[in-house]
Amino acid sequence: MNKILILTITLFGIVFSGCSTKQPMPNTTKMEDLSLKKDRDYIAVVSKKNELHIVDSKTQKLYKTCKLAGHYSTAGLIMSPDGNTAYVLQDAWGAVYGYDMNTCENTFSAKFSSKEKKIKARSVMSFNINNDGKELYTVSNPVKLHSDSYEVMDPIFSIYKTDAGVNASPIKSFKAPRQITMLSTAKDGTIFAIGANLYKIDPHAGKIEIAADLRHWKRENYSVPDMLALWPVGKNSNEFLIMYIAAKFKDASQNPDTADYVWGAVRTDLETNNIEISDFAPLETVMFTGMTHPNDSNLLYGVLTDLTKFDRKEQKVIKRVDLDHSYYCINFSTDGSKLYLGAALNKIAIYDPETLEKLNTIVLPEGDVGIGTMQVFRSK
Amino acid sequence: MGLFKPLNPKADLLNKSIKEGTQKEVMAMQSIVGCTSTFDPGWEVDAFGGVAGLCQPMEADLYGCSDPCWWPTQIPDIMSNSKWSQNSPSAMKDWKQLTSTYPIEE
Repeated sequence: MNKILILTITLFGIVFSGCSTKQPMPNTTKMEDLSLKKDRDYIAVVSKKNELHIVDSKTQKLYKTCKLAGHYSTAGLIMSPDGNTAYVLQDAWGAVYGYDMNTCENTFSAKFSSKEKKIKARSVMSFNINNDGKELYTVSNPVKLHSDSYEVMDPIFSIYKTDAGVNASPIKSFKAPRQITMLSTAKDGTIFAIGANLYKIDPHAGKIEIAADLRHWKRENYSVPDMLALWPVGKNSNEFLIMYIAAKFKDASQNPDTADYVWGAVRTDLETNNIEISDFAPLETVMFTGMTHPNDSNLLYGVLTDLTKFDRKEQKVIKRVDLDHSYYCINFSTDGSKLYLGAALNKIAIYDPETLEKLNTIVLPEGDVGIGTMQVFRSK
Repeated sequence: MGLFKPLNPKADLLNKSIKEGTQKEVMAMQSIVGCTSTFDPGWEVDAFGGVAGLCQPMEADLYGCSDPCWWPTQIPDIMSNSKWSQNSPSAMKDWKQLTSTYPIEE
């Protein structure tokens, strides 16, 4: 009796509601499965919820979110040259993971520590990809955990094949200088590394040399430069740029009271490997990242609590605007038409690089991005 | 170094090492790139051997400064205490949930 009643109600329901049993199925494509559109800029950041957010620069909206496999740590982020793979520094800076941007799948990992050898190793944003995307380079800092003491070992430069899958082993490793905090790949395959000096690395020959003295630079009447290099951006301007603050003394007495304090930049052109070390402005405000315009390397933009546009040759401020809060990381669209500010809370601010007018703010899902890297990349 | 006066025993050791010509041994210990991140604590200096790169109290950005550790005041760093802020992804909303850290029980 009950079965007949249920069948009757169901049939009546279909008839009177006008519903068809052949209704199209709802679109079941999951957000993480969305493919990137070709020849379009995307913005990538990693949040404290261990999620990688991809923002579409055209709609200026969140396009997709990938749940990451490793554990969150303030994320260094490097995109493969074709924009299809994101490499993220995770596990308390103990590993680099690779993720397919079209499927969110974890396709690669390189872990620096070894439980068997009782070695704990970390990397401070020191990783990058070669120009065809087939090799990943890292510098890690290992410590041997003895039962009663820690033994600081030599830092290691390692080369991994990016198609080696998860838990990849390096194909080559050699000793690296201490205190490396970022790597960048030049057009000819040279790796530049920033630490106490600017280093030039031939990865396959295992050869490292100082490309420019920094801690012991020989600039007359200058103090040692103070630098903070944690954001591996600059690819869209084809540069590896690290800003410095230094005291410029009046004479050899090095009196700090009469010194001028200046901002300057160590800029390596990744096309030519030419290195420039030059001041670009008086020290007036604090900045954490800077980048030159992709179409005019004389224009430098720096950010923290304000956004400032500098004329490097004239060593002067062109324009400065206050920001609604701190932003640690600056980056440009690939064509230089938009300036993005990120690495703070869960926001990305968009500015016009010509006028420094604010164009928009993109609010991401909950989860701060800390001081992680914000990359702008083009999907090819 | 003549412009600086050591304020703690480790700084005093550094001062003595300069006089004794053993400064390089001390510098070797300064292989920080993040203090607890490489388990080489003690020399609270930044990557360039100074303090200007350290987060200062006026830059009290909880997550910006706790995460990579260059932090000279009493705040946990998630390199050593990875779970400290894992349930508090939003500093503005969740800061009240942040508490002390305790020894990890294996």
